[in-house]
Amino acid sequence: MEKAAQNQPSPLALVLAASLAEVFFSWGYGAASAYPLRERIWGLGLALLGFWGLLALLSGRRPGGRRLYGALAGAAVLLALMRTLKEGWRFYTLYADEDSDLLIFGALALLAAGWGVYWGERAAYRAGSVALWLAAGEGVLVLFSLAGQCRITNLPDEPIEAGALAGAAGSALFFLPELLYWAEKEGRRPGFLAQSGRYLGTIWAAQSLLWVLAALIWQEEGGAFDAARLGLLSVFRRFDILYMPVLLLLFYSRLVLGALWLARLRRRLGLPGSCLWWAGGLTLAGSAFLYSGSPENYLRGGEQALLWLAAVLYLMGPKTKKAG
Amino acid sequence: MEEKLSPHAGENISRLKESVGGSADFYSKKLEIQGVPCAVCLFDGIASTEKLWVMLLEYLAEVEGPKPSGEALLRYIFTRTDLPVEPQLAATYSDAMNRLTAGFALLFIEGCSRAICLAAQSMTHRAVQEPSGEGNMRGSREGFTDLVRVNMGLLRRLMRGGGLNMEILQLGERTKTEVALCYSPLHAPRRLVDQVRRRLQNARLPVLFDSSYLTPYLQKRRWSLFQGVGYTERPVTACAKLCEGKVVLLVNGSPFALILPYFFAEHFQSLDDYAQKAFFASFLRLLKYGAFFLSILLPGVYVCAAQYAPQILPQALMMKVLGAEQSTPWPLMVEVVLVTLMLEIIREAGLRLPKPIGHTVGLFSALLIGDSAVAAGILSTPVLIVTAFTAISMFVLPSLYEQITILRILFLLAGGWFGPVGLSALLMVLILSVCGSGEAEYPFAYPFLPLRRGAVRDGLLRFSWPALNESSYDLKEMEK
Repeated sequence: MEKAAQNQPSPLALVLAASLAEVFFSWGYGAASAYPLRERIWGLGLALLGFWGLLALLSGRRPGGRRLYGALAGAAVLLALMRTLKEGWRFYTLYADEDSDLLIFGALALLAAGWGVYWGERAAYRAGSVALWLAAGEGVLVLFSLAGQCRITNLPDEPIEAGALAGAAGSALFFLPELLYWAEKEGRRPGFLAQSGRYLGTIWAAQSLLWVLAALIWQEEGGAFDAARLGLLSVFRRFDILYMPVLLLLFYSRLVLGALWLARLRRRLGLPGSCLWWAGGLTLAGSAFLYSGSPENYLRGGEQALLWLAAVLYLMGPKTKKAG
Repeated sequence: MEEKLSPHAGENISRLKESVGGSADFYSKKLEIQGVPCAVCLFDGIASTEKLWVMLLEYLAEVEGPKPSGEALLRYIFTRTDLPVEPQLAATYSDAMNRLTAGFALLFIEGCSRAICLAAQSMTHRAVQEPSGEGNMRGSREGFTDLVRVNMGLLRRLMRGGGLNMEILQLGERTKTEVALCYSPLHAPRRLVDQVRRRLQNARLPVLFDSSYLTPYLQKRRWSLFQGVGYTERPVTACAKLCEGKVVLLVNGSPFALILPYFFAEHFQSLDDYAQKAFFASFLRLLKYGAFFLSILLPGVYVCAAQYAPQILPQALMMKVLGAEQSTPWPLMVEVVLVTLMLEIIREAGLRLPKPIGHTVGLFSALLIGDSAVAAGILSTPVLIVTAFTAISMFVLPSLYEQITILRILFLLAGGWFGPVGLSALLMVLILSVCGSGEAEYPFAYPFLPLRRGAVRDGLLRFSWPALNESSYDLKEMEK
C-alpha cells in the first residue's frame, strides 16, 4: 500500500487540463474581453494572484461543515458540468460540425467521463497529463503555422489605465471549480503553494498568449481558434479540424475531473452509487433544457455563488498538520 | 483421494486401477524382489515399461540374498542403490496418481504404506524449434516447447548465475496442470512474487490447457482493453524479462510463457532491437509507434475527414476521394466497414485452414476484392488503399493484434457516426484505458506515465548498449 501511494500521480496535470478547457471553450474570463489588451492581461494576472491568496488560506485545512460543503460543492460541480457541456457543444458546432446534436454530443462526452470514473483517479490524472502534452504540442504547431501572419505593429501601444485595469481584474475574478478540488486533494501536502503558483501562472500564460495571438493577427478581437484557422502547414489547406480533437481532450478532461469529484463527494455524503447515473442524466438534461438560449448568462452566477459559499465553508474548516 | 496408501501392494494397485476405470494404458505387474512381494505400475505412453524393466533387472542381477522385511527393502532401495528414484516417496493415493501422470513408475512393496517413484519417463513431445509467431532476424533460434520441464531447462540453461527460482504449482481442478512460477530473487520485488503466487493459488479453473487461461486471474480490472500480461515464445526474451525483475509463468502444454507485469512500451520492443545498431533500432521503434496509431486511427480519420471536413485534404486528393466515392453504391463508412470485416474474415480463414490452402484463400480473396470489386464499381480504390495500409501497419505489432482490431473498428464507427467528437471521445477512452491498466505499483503506461528516464532511453528510442548499461534497469528501480 505504501508503495502504491508513492506511485500516486499528482492531480495537477488533470486540474490544469480542465482549467485550460475553461480558457479555450468557455471564455470564463470573457467579461475581461471588453477591456484593452494590456489591461486585460494584467487584470487577469491580478485576479489569479487573488486566487493564489485564496489557495494560501485554504492550504492545510479540511473543509468545514463536511456534509453542507459536500452538497454545495456537488451542486456547483453539477452546474459547472452542465455549462461545460453546453459551451463545449456550442464551440464544436461553431467550428467543426454545425449539425451536431447536443444529446449525442453530451452522451459521448459523459461516456468518456464515466469511463474516467471507472478507471479512477490514478488513470484520470495520467490521462490529464497526456491531454496537456498534446495541447502543448498543438500550441507549438499553431504558433509555428501562424508565425508568418503575425504583425507586431498590431499590438496596442497605449499606457495602462488604472480604472480599466481594476475593471478587467474584477471581471476576471472567475472562480474555477477546479481550484477547490485542487485544494481538497493537495492542500495538505508540502509544496502546495509553489505548485499552485505554477498552475495559476500557466493559466495566465495560456490565456494571455491567446489574447496576444489574436491581437497580433487581427489587431482587434477574435477567438484564438479563429486565429488558428488561418494557420497553414505543408499540404493541408486547413488543419484546424486536426487540433479540434486535442481541444476536445481538454474538454473531456474537465468532465472526467468533474465526474471524479462528484464520485468523491457522493462517498462523503454517503449517497448510493446509482446517484452518479442520475447526476449524468441530470447533467445531460440540464445542458439541453436549463441552458437553452445563451448559456453564459443563466446559471453561471449560481455556480459562482455556490463555489464561493463552499470556499467560505472550507475556510471555516479545521487546520490540520501537513502530510508528507 | 487424500487417503493414505495401504501396506498391501496388491490393494494399492487395485485401487489405482479402479480410480482410472481400468484404463487401457494403465500397466501393472506383481513381482518379488529379494523375497519380498512387490508390484509396479505406470502409464504406458508417458513412462516406458522397457526402461523400467532394464532398471529393475540390472538391480536384481546385482543384489544378493533375501531381505527380512518390506521396510528393510524400501530403505535399501531408497538409500543404497543407484536406481533413479525420486527424493520423495508417494504416501497417498492422490500423490501416487500425480506421480504416475507425471510419467513415473511406482514400486509398491508389501508391508510399506509408501511407494518408491522410479524415473521411467518416456514422453514424446515437440522438439525445441524456432518460434513461428515471434520472428526475429538475429538472436537465439530456440523457442519454448510444450513440456513445462523442458521449458524450465531452457531457462535454467540461459541463466546460470543462480539468480533464478522456479516453483511448481498445480492448477486446473480436472487437469492438475503444472505451472512454473519463475523469478529472479535478486531482481524481482518480493511483493510482486507473493502477489502473483497468491492470485494463482486463488484461481479456480476447471481446466488449464494454455497459459492464456490464467490472464484474467492475474489482473484486477474486468473491463480492460489492455492487459498487463505479455507473452513470449522465446526463452531468451523470458530470461531478459526475468533479469528486469519480472515474473515468468510457464504452463505445461503451452509454448507461450506469460510475463508480468508487462508495459505498453514493451509491445514495441523486440529481440532484434538490441542486436541492431541503436540508430536503426530507434528508427524502427518510432515506425512501430507510428504504425500503431495509423492502424487504429487511419480508417476512422479517413471516414471522418471525408464526411465531416473534406476541406482539410489537399484539393487534388479531395477530388480523387470524392470522385471515387461517387462511383460506388455504398456510403463511405459502410464501404470501409465492409472491407475491414472482409479482411478479418480472409485472415481468419487463412489462419484456420491448412497452410497451403490458407495461402491460396488469401491470394484468391485479395485478387477478387482488390481487382474485381474495384473494376465492377462495388468498392473504391482509396478505401482499399486505406484498409490495406491499415492492415499492414497492424501486422507490425502482432502482440497488440486483438486490441488494434477492435479499436480500429470502434474508431471507424465513432468517426463515421459522430465525427470529430466521436473520435476524440474514443481517444480519451483509449488514453484512460492505457493509463489505468496494470497494477498500481506497475502502471501499464510506464515509463511514459509516470515519466521516467527510460521513456526515451529504451521506450520511444533505443540508446546504445554502453548508454543503457550506465544504469541497468529492473523493477526495483520503479520503487525508488
